[in-house]
Amino acid sequence: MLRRSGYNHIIITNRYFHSNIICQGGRYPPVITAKHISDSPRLTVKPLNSRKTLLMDQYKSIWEDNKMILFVHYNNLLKQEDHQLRLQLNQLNINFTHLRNNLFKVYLKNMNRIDPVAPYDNSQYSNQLLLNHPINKLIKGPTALISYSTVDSSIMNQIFNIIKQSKGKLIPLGAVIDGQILNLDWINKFNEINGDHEQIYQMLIANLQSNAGGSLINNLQLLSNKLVNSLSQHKEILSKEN
Amino acid sequence: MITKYMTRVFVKFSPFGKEAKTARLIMASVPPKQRILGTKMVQELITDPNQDPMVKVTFKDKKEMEYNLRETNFEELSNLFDTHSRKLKIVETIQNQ
Repeated sequence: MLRRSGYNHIIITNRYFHSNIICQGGRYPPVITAKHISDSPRLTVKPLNSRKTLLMDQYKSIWEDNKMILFVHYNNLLKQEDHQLRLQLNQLNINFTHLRNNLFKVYLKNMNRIDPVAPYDNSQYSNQLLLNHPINKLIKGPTALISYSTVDSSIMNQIFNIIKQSKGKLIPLGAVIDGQILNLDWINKFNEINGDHEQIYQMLIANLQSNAGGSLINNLQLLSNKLVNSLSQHKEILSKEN
Repeated sequence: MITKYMTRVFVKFSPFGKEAKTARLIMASVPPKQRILGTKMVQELITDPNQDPMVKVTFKDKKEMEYNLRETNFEELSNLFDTHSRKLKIVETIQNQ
């Protein structure tokens, strides 16, 4: 969560581990320096105030809070292009994050653990480590994440329009949508769907309730109804015999 | 990798394939200033595993070099491209004198 305090300070509240990080500077995007002001003790592999711990927490929050994550390759963006891109995406409440590849791979490896940055005992936690996460294939070369909190194909279309405008400086590689890893073919199919998650569910229910859907439900219920009838007949016969 | 004498870099690869690393490193090695000066970058993403990934570079003397990305790594490719780039560099220095 971001909140401004004073002229040049931004405080980021880390809701997972109850600590705050102070960001200084009036530039956009703000420079983030990890300076935890919390008293809560937390055992970490790297120092608690280090940038690596901060980034791991950031990756955890991105992965868990966003249902739509698009992986893109960026081709040496100029500073101005990067700022413009971030502004365009932020207007749609979309986050753009450059990845530190090795750190993100460490997060992917430890993502099943409660605190990925906590030191681990091989004998105790070896089953929880994901050694070959399929996303690892995309983390080669300059990679960035474009993330959005809900599943919405219209937002994905808007992201792809922005990518088209970048003229080859951003290249979409793959996506994680609602926990599913999609390649470009599937992303294009997803983009053809109109509406968000709820609208699609409503359409499905409407189809099932319509005439065509009604016959489908009847067909599905036919076998179970037959079974119920035959069992009830059998029960009647047994009761008469007794 | 010397990219000064390249006019067009065409890269075809699958993002989930093994060749992705080489392809993406080639794309990243062309600096943004070079693109403004005239090196054109063209990418094509493939999802069919039967298609061969490739890199095709056109130089200023219109020489084309094409390689399969599955068979060569980034260092080998950069050495191959640099051999021709050095020849062009020598020609350029002679012409300037």
